[in-house]
Amino acid sequence: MPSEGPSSQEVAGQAAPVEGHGGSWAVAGLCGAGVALIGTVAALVLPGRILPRPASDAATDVVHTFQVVGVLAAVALGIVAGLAAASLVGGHVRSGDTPPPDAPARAAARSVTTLALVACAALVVAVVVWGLSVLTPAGAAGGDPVVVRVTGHQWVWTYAYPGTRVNGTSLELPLGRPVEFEVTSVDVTHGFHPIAFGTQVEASPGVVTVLRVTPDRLGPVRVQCSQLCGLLHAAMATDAEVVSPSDFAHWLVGQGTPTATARRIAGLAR
Amino acid sequence: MTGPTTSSVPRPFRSRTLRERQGVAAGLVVGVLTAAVAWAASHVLFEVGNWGTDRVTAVTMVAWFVGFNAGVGTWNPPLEWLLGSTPGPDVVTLEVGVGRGRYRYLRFCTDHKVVGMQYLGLAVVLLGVGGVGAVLIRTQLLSPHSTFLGPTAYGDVVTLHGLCMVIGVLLLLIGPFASYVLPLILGARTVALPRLNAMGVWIMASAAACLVSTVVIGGADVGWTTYAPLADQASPAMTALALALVGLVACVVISGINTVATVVTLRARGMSARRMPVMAWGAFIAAGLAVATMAGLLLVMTLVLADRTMGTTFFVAPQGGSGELYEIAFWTMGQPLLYVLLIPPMAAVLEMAGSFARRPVFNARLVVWCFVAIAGISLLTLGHHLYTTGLSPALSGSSLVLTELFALPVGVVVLCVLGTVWRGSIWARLPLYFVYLFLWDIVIGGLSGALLGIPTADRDLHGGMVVTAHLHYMMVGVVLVGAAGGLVYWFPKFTGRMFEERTGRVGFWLIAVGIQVTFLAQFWAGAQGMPRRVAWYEPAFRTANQVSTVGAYVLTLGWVVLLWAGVWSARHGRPAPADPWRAESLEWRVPSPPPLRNFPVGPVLAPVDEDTGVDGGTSRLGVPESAAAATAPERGGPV
Amino acid sequence: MALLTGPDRADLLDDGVTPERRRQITLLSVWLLVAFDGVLTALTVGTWFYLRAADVQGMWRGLHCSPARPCTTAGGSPLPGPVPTAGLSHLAGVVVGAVLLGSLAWWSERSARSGASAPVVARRAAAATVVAVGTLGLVGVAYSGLVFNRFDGAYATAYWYVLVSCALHLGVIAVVLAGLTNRIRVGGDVPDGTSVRAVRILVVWTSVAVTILCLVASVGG
Repeated sequence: MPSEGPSSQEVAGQAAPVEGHGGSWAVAGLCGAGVALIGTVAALVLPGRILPRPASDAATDVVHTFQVVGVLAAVALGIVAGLAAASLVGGHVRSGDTPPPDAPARAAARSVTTLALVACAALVVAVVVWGLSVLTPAGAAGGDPVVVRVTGHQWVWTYAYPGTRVNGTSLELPLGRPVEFEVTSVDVTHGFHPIAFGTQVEASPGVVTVLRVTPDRLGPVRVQCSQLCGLLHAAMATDAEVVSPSDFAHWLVGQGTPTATARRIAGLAR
Repeated sequence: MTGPTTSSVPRPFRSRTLRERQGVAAGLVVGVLTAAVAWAASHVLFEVGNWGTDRVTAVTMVAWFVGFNAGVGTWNPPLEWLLGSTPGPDVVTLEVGVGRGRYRYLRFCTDHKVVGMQYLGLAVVLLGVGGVGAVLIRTQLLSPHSTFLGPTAYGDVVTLHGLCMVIGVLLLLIGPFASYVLPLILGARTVALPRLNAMGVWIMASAAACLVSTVVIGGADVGWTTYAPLADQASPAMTALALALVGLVACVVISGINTVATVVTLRARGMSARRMPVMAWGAFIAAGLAVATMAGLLLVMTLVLADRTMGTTFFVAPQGGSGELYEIAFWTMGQPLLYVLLIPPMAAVLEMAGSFARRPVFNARLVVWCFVAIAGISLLTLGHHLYTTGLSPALSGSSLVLTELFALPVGVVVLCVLGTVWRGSIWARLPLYFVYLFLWDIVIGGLSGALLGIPTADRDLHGGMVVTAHLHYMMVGVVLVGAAGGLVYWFPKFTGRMFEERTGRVGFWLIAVGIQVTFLAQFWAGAQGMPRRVAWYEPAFRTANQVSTVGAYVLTLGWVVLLWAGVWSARHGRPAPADPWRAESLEWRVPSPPPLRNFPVGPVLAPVDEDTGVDGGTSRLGVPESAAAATAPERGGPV
Repeated sequence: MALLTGPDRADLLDDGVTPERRRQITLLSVWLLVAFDGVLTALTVGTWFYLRAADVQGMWRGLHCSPARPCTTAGGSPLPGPVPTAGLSHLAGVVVGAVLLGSLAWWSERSARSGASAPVVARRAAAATVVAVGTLGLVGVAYSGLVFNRFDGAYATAYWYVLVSCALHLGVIAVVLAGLTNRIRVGGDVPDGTSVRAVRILVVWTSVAVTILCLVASVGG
């Protein structure tokens, strides 16, 4: 076997490999903590302000999910940014045509590898535990829901209330009563998305999908189509309204429903 | 194809053989002629019946595909095989491009380096078209009810933008990385299937022409995922689009098979799996994943084509069809595709981190296992695209767990990049800038993906701008940034010149800032409730959109500056030595750019006497300068 | 560690790939292609069973359709009753042809490996080609004997698609087998046996895929 030639460093006239001076834990900690702090504050404060005001439990869960994942992201970003910044600061940082001397190969200590795996696993577990805890089981809406049959057409939503003759493009819902949307489409796939309720379901032709939600705030709720459905997808929206049960019964009656049926659907006592 | 034998010096046009005349020009002529004849004939045959326009479109596009590739010479290898002839030395010489000069880039060329650059050219064109689309989209969204583009045009642009970008990035990885650099890294003098490799790029070129032609023949406003039943309804351009995607599948599978075979069979002697660089592992795993999963796209496209041209009812609900079938089948391909796109840039970032921190990749063996884990998990996570289809809680819960599992291998890879640069000897050259931007973006992109993986969140955010922001952070901020860094890193090898870094840094900072502004503003708009793929929106989202558009203009400017720096440097940059980065993998042991067969003789790695002390180290091979001189003399500059 | 020079010739056009490597590359590539088509076949099977289980609007076979309340189809003429399942005899014929095809291909390769002369192997490959074309013909017979239209609901649509898929598989493999026969006849491809083996892998896979598809298509329900 031919003898080894001079090492690349010796040929280039440089010294043997040295450990870079960068990598101060203090810098990493400071920078990382700063990023994590800013991120955490943002993650706790911003979702409540930016997301639409929740009008159901599901929407409240969404706000909290943003906060939880946001804080985890802030911590992760802090760790990464801190380590990255520290790697650049205070050491052998050279630009120009000749490289700095080689840094020695670092054996991946088992403890470091384990720490990395544990940290990432902790992130996974945290997100999964949170995600499972807010996962709503089927049939969560409880007994005797208000049933609304939602049909998506290109490019309008129609709403029918079984047991009444109401079948039009306006949607009114009683406060505090569980609602069961039975959603379908007559042409292409749409997305039925009452934004303030924080949940949606696909409107698929030939299939009925179910969305259960309980409105817990009075006021308007914008319903937007969330699945690209052609030319006027952007315009396929409804301004739904959550009203008190008696106002809801009143509205049903105004649409030609017998009073007793209207009061029953609205959940009012006889 | 009888006549005078081919010569290594181009003859005057009249005396050339048929084979010598094949090339892009011949391809365009034959392709357009065949398509025109087919169009005329199919008009007569089909126009009167049902599905007539779609059939005419389909026949025309197939004729274009067959004719163009006949003119280029793509069908020569299979025809020769069927006719029982073996290409002689003159044909091999012609095909490998000897004596053709620059024109070999416009021909069927079996030199894997030429094919790599051909893919790069195609990628730049597609990314450019996609980029123009992005600027148009963001300009439309400057005001809530803009009349800049009509709704049809907007939908068409959204679709074309998405497809051109996804395909463009894919070609960027297939060409410069898998075709050009990979064999050099492995110490190979060629790829395993050079003729198939060349066929792949020309099939893709004809498919790309088909894709871009949809702008002219009507456009399809279906989004890049082209969901059915909307895809059944769209204009005949959708038929052309579906055929273009079939061509894409052929190209990706061809390229994937070639890459896998090259890695398995043509490594330098002595390069065991342990000593194979991380970049090679990344390309190998991504290629294998692509071959395994592209069938999903082929299936849905044939179903859509059957519905559109033959009246089948796969996606027609009144006759038993199901839109959910499309979604499930599409995402069996779509989800792994995202990781086919992610893994090679990750590998490139690790290589760059090692070179510019002057040490081996931290725990390379663990990194490779993470790549394998990412590829494996990606096969199981299509469920998170289906949360809003009325999925049962059991399926939602299991999709949640599987999706969030990604954070483990991806997070470990990020920590290994950090472990490589930590207390390294930092050499702050331009590729390293991309490494650090990659790190920042992958945390934001990855954690927003973790958010969307939670069913409760996704049921609010599906179809909204938060999804758009997440996917762009990943595709632009991570994949494209990593790929761009890799291109700058291997630029001296491709062109023999150094990348002009001052201009490059300007481009880099514009891109870095542009990404954050554009897509953080989209997170904001999405959180407010703005849906995606909409031409108009509620006034409440105006500020977020305006900020995003400004960011998009900055980002676009950044890419243009970077591209311009690249083009300028390719012509006027400082001549580059074989090993400008004093790096240690084998591609730096050959001149820049490499000669035809890369290494004058197949390199052999001596056995490892002692452990380098790095656990599973594969990237640093410790090649002494004196042995490097045994390779062919390089151009200019010190060794 | 040192970089040593290897024993290969430094010829400009010599790409350094030995015949042994070339064989390895060919066979690996063919297996990867088979894997790709395997996934495609599995997805096709999945499509069949998904549409059957979903039975969207009862239109898998339209069991609720009756002369009094006929169902509409994409082709225009209404459906006055359930779509009848296709007869099994045609599918059985295709399966028999596919199995015969696979066996012939295997036999050809075995004879090549045990040193049969080129003309002998060529004859067997030609026989396999004929069987492939014949089986393709049987698919055509099955198609022309269909008692429903492809737009009469999801079952009919999926059945049509399966027949077309079988036809494409058989058509491609017939061309490949004809090419192999020609190659052996013209140029003596056999000594190394790689082509024969590669084609055998593809043919046997095609037989398996066609058999699977026909078995699936017999599940009407």
